[in-house]
Amino acid sequence: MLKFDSNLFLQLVGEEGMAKKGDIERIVDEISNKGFQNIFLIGSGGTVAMMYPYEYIFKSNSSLDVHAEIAAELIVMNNRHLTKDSVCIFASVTGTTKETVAAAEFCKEKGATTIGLVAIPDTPLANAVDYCISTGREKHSFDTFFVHLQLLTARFIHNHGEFPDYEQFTKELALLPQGIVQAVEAFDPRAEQFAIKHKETGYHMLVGAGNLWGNTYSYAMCILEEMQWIKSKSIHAAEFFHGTLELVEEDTSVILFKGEDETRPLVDRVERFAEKITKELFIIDTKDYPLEGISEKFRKFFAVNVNWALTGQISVYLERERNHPLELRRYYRKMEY
Amino acid sequence: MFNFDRDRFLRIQNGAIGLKDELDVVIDEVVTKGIKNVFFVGTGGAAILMYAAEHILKNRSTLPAFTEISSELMVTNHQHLGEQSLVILPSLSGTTKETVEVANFCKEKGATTICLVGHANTALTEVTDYSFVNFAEDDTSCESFYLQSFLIAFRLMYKRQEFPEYHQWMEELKLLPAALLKVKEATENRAKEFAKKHKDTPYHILSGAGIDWGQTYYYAMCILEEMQWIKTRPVHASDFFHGTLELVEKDTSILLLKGEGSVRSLTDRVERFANHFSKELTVFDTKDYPLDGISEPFRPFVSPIVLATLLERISCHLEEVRNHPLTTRRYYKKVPF
Repeated sequence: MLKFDSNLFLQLVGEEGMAKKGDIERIVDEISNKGFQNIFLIGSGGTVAMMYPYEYIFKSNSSLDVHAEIAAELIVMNNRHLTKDSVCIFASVTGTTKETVAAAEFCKEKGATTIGLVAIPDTPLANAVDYCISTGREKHSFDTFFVHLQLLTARFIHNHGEFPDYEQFTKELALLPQGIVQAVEAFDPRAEQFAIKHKETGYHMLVGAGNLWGNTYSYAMCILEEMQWIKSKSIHAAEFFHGTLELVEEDTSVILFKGEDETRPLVDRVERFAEKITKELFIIDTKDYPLEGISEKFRKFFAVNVNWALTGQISVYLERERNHPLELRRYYRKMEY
Repeated sequence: MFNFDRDRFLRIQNGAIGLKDELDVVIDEVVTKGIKNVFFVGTGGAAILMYAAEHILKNRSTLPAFTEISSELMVTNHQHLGEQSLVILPSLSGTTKETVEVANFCKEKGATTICLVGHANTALTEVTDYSFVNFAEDDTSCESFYLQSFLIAFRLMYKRQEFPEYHQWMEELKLLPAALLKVKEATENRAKEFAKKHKDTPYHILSGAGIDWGQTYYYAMCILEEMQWIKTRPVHASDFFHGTLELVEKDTSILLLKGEGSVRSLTDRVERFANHFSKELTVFDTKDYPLDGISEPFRPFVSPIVLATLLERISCHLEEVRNHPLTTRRYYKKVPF
């Protein structure tokens, strides 16, 4: 496997990630006991996309009032739901994303309770929030953020009386990193073949829904566009048939992110269409991976983690095949705008 | 103006505003009965056009507002949809399959349903509690839907004592159709030049923010992609700097849609960047249009309508110079899915 160290993954995401369970429960219990009115999930670019699955999970499992917002927009608007009784959750790998830090300060001024997920402690975001949960390292920080967001989300819903299987859920979550490693091993050759075949492809269409819409959006924008400078279009499976379908020709690259939640039929529908029209359909389906120890009812929640790890392999093979380092930027953080 | 009927335009937009009294009766009744939230639910473009009303409610009202895609809402288990939900269902034809299905779905949940359609006695009017009919076609439906959604959103806020300027604003809104006509006239030459210049441009980045984000997304997906088969990348002005910016080269076409109000700082930032790195930046700015009769504080509300109205001029000219009728489809309603 290219650039994937299974032991390191198990250590960082499994052991060290799950080690925060107690802290996260204490934080959420303290907030739940104090009482709150709603939850805001806030980020910029990839980190707001990372929040979308959790907004979806809240909306489809809980009557708690939840909003996912882009940091830069939130601070120039006057969202009437954001008050001192809001709980605001932020994420930034570096802890320095300007807009996210500004949003955390904005929400604190409103008197809201703030929680920050960062890789590196003692950074501006970490210092701006009431509660900071850090992964300790940048490597695999997104994978660990997902675990932390799962713990946060499940605990909030549990405390609201809507997640009765919480204990079982967290026990199985601890087994997930092992299942992901096996999935990555199985997927790795496909990732390599994809990258070899598509090293010159100038445009990809990415389709996903439900828990995986955030990953779909993020992979197009933050990996293909930002890190590989490849044009890409993310489109929600429910919207695909209302415009974007007309672009599909027999050589159009269409990548489907399939998960296992309620929206799977929407992605199935795109699959049925795309396989008739294009020869370049590539499907990443979490159902193809056994994930030992994970019960059927929880698999849908974990599609986001599995998909993230699998697509990460595509990125490193694209980097190699295209001889285009993932860190290379033309503009970002190189100038003021 | 090319291929344009002034009287028909005014008749349709005044027709939308003319629904006010009937709509008020229904909204007043629903509010008196008591509602907990409002859902805007549609399929494809019709749902996207509701973002503006949702945006207004989010930032002006404490009434929770959701915009949902029909097919997704039916498979997810949205915990906020229930007996005390008011559901607004726009569909120009009144026959959109998924919208009809979701109307039934919402009724089964006990919600109150209102449809906004272009034709009476259609499948959708049969299944909703209340129906409002205003004939429009593709070239006039955006403004008509925006106006109707505004009548609903502002009436809701008025009844909840959240918008004291209501009566003055409603008087001014009646003047908007005539002002829009002038917007079209003022844009005609630019639209023609744009179409001529970009008739062979295969890819456009479109950016907008806040209340205008929906219109930005709509124009990319429902017009350029669906009706002209041109690849697009709609990106929120906030997210632009978190990935998509890296694609910009000196010949990259960027279409920036600027509205007014506090989110303008976000589009200004994209403008500064794009001006510097691309020679193909096109800015449509609602500030350039006088909008007789609309006073300063209300201008930020109407920007998506102004943008829709001026973009229709571009579509009209693109159709002509590209010799590609706006009604031609490769797949939609031709290939089953």
